[in-house]
Amino acid sequence: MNEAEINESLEKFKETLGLLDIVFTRRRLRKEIYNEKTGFIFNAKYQFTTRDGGFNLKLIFDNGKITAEEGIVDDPNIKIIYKDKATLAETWDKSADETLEYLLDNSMSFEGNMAYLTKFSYLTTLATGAKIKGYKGPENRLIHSIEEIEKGEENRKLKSDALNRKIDNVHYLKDPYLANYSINDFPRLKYLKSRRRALKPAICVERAKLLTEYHLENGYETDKSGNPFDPELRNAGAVNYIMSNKKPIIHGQFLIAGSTTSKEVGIPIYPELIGTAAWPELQSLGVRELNPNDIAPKDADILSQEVFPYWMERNVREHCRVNKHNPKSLWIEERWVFYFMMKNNAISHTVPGFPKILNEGLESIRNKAVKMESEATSDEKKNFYKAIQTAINGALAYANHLSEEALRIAESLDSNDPEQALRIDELKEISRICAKVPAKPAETLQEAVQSIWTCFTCIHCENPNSAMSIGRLDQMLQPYFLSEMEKTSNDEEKEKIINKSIELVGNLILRINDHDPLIPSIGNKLFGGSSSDDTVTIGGVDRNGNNAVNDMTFIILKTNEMLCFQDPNMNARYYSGINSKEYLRRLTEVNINMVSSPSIHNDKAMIEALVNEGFALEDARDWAATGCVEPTVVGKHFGHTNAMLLNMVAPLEMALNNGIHPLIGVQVGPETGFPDLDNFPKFEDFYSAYKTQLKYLIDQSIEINNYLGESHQYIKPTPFLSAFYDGPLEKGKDLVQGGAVYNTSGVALVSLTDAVDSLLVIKDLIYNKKEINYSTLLYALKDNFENGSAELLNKIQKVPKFGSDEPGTKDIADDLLDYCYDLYKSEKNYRGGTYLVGYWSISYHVGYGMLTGALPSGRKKGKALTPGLTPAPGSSDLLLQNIRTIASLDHLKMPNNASYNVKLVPHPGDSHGETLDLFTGYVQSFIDLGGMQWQFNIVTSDMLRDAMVHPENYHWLLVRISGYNAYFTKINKNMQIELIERTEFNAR
Amino acid sequence: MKTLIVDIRRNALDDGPGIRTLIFFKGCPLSCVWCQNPETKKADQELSFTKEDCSECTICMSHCKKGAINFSNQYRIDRDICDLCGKCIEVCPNQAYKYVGKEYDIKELAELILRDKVFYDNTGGGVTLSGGEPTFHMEYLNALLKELKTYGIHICIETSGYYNNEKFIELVLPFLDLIYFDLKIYDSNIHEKYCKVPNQLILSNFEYLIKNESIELLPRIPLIPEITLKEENLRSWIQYFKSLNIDKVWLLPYNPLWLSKSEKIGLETEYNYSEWLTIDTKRKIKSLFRENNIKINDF
Repeated sequence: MNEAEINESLEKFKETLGLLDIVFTRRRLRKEIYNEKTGFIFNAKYQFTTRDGGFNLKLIFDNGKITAEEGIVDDPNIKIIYKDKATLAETWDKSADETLEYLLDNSMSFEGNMAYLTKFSYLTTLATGAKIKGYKGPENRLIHSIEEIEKGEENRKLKSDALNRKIDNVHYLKDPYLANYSINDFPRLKYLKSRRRALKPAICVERAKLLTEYHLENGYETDKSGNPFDPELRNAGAVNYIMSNKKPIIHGQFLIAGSTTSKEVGIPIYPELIGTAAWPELQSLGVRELNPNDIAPKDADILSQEVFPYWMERNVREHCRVNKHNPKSLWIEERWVFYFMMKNNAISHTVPGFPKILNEGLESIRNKAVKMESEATSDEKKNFYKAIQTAINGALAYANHLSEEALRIAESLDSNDPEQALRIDELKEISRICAKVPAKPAETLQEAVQSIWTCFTCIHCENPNSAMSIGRLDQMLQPYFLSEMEKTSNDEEKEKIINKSIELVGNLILRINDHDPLIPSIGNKLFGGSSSDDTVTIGGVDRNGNNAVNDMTFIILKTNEMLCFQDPNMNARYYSGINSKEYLRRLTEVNINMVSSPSIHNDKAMIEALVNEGFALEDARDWAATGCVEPTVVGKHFGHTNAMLLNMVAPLEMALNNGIHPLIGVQVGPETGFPDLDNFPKFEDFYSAYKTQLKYLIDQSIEINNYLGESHQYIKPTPFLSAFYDGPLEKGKDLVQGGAVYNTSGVALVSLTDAVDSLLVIKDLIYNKKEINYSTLLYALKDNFENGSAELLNKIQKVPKFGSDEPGTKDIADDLLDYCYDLYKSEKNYRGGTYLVGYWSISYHVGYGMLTGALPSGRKKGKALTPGLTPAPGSSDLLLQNIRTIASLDHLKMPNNASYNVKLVPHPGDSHGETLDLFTGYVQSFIDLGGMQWQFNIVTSDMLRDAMVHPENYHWLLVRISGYNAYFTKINKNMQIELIERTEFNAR
Repeated sequence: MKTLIVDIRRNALDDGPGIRTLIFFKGCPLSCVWCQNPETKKADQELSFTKEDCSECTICMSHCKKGAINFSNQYRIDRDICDLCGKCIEVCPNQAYKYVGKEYDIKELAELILRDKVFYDNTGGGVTLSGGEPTFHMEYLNALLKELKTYGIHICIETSGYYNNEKFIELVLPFLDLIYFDLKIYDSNIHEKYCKVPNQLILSNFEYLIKNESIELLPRIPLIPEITLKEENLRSWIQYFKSLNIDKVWLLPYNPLWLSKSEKIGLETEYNYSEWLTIDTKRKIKSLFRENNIKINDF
């Protein structure tokens, strides 16, 4: 655009804003800004401005009147800042989705309440006349036919070896590998599986609506009588109200009752957290390219007109911003490229003590709370104990409603129809069980599974569906399996119990897939394809250090292999020397059959790392994976394991630019000097500048995490979840106040490899070989290695990189591991616990990569960084060198775990057995060398390319991103390409 | 004690069971016209030049004190003049020049091999001695293998069978776990024509092992078009195997990529077959062996 065009476009912008006043007098739209029914009147002040302050426009909403004019407004709710006039001229009439690109690359940024930005974006969407398209509601739709799904599944060729002898702690399974079972033996599971794959998830407003209703009636800041509302009581009341009024649902054919949302597959909304981020997309969620979610027009109106307005100021991000007076650490977070703070979205990410509920029942815990309330000395504690009771009562009400619903359905069926008669029996059993658990201890396998599931759905009335993990399912279920098997000596009966166990585990897995997280488009760009990551862990050792691999371990593996679902994210603990090699071999086989699951953990290393952090040995042995790979001690440990993801490459770009981040264009970190040989005569000098920038970001990340944590204490206490843990009852303190026995926060450091490789190149070419100088390098980086950089790239390529196993390529990584560990260790979190560092990236290596310029490592602008703790493609053409490098890193410095991603292709000439021998050998060697965690992708790049062209054949194709896995056909193109470009190690 | 090694290949999966480290020794008593590793034939160090890497900047020429570098020479280096001083390797910006063969002492080589022990242990792998002809270096092998055996490393050798049997039995055999014994041409005269030595010694060494030793041994035949691949030759081998009650053989299909390797070290080739085996040829060979109840690998 030239100057005249820019000015013309800006005039048009002013004009359009001016027209909003007329648009929003229309009857249907008026409710968005002036709603007499709900009393929500949108009064707001917006400031549009350019970075240099050269252009200013104010937009004011005042009791239903909208005015727009040039000039500066005092105390705007939000300031939207454009890089320059040209950017504003270019951006203002773009769709919400297109605007996102500008927001991410910082051409556009904001200061103030983010909800005002999302609301504004929605208002402009409405003003341009956008309407929800293609909604066929009210129920979820099948967007693929069951036939298409089943035909696609024929591409899955499962290979199963039988073992036919007992191993580990297996009591009854004659063939622990269960090689003779197939999905065709379980028509119910087969149908439900295909149906789930075919369904389009839908936004569910039930929870958000009930929550808002409760507070409109009972108050928020103050209670009905005008006194400050105790946050524990306030939340318990709301959670009780949600559970008690939640629709009890038993979906056809299922053996367990209850659902996370009111939809068959639903997306629950948590407006007190990230909910309002979906505001701009309420009209377009259903038709967006990635992960479309149905939304009913009336539900969009409910959210926009009745729910979101209530929460614009009452959410964690905004509470933190106001309470801490716009801290710089939050400003940095909202620049996207430095660190991501999960607390804005959720804490969750823990493993509730389900075993406690199975053994004891919720009633017993409520009774304890009653007793403790009477003995408590402070009002605060009394309120907390009261809150636990209120919350539990809500869950028990929900369980009773489920029991009644099962009977109601049974009565509606025809007992003379043989098929329906069978279902009537099932429903009567479901009704009996729901009347019993989770109030009372579970006594049968089905009771146990139902109890876990009812609790799980209730926990989500309170806590976001963000990696609320199931924990050690095999350990929980094995006692029930054994006691049922013990009761019979008849082989046929035993066989039936095994079948029933598979059926029940399959039901639970399918139920766990009944919800998706709310992912605004920004999320699809940054962590596309992520599920709720409700993780299940199997194997390893028990609290006494004995072999914990049992019958249920293998039943869960088999069921999961047959279903091949993203959730639960399966994690297998392998304690070498205690667990059998045959078990490891089976884990490898399941990976061959599922492409990318389960991930395999070195149990010994993980336990050592936890003990090193002060966990008692018995507790450390009782860890389960959370979300992706992170350890949580079951029912004792509140460890928000993905509290943050920090980009290790950003400080490198800052060190190369004297603390200015090139994408942001302003000073972010300390001034460490522009790189030249005067400022940095030795490599160590530059390295120290990098560390200074890194330290700055780490310090800021700790500050903002603690601030956000404090906001959770006010906005989002968790009295119901607290009931599941050891600690809160004893201490009289909520989990978010530090009530648990262990109170850590988990950190993920992203793309260590890219930082290390870049530092290696600088060290080798500028300092050791003196082949280039800083100005050559900086020019090439700015130019994205475009013009005349071929020779430089050639030199860069020859520098031995991290993962090559060449001498000296690991020292910087070792040093950074120590450095980051020590820095995080030196600070406490807001709950009095420590920070645990890990190295995995979800899919942030792709997101951060999009926002990162060319790097000294030779990686070009915008390209994905490396996933987790994985060497870069090309660092070595042999797997063995990579394995040795990663395995040799000190596991004690990564107690929040790491993810090492290996893409392997079986040799077509090898038998299944030979492939298994070899792959198992690689994993065993990695573990023997001290490696922490291993994730397979056993797939060829050719197949991935084919899946990009023919997605209809590959709905089942699960791939490992970093930590979590995702359906390949549902992730964004950048991520698909990154996966294809990962080093593919051929087995020959 | 030191000896020249051309290459050490880790994570090798094709030359013996499991994950292995492959050691290519330099020097061979045979000189087969089709040799797939021509850079291992000579016992002395050599200099290789890779034309594809060269940017024709001529820096090398100006640094060569002997004047051995000539840009109009097909092989670039006049190897009669070159004294292997290595100046060209040092100055070339594109690493087009490389030494072929590097000296390793026993300790150094053993350390390199032992570094991957965990992978051998977990996959039933180990080390494979190849070349060249590993038995060309019996004393060296003896010392190396003694060291490796104290760590229980599985040892496999790939040999042409052209060695002094007494010395082999004394110095090498006791440490071996597996022998790949290469047999090429049954008729000794033809053998001498293409491999430059007669084959009596090879056959007698082979027969000695078959008849007197219990070690696992697998005969291998390289399938060289127009030479070993001739039906008459293959039939002779089949009869020979039958007479010795051998029912399993490994066949090595011809790989024409060796031709470019020859060029790099300035070796004139008298045999220049540049095609891969056709599927049809492979099928014929397979059925010939199968008809005679001799098990072969899939290739």
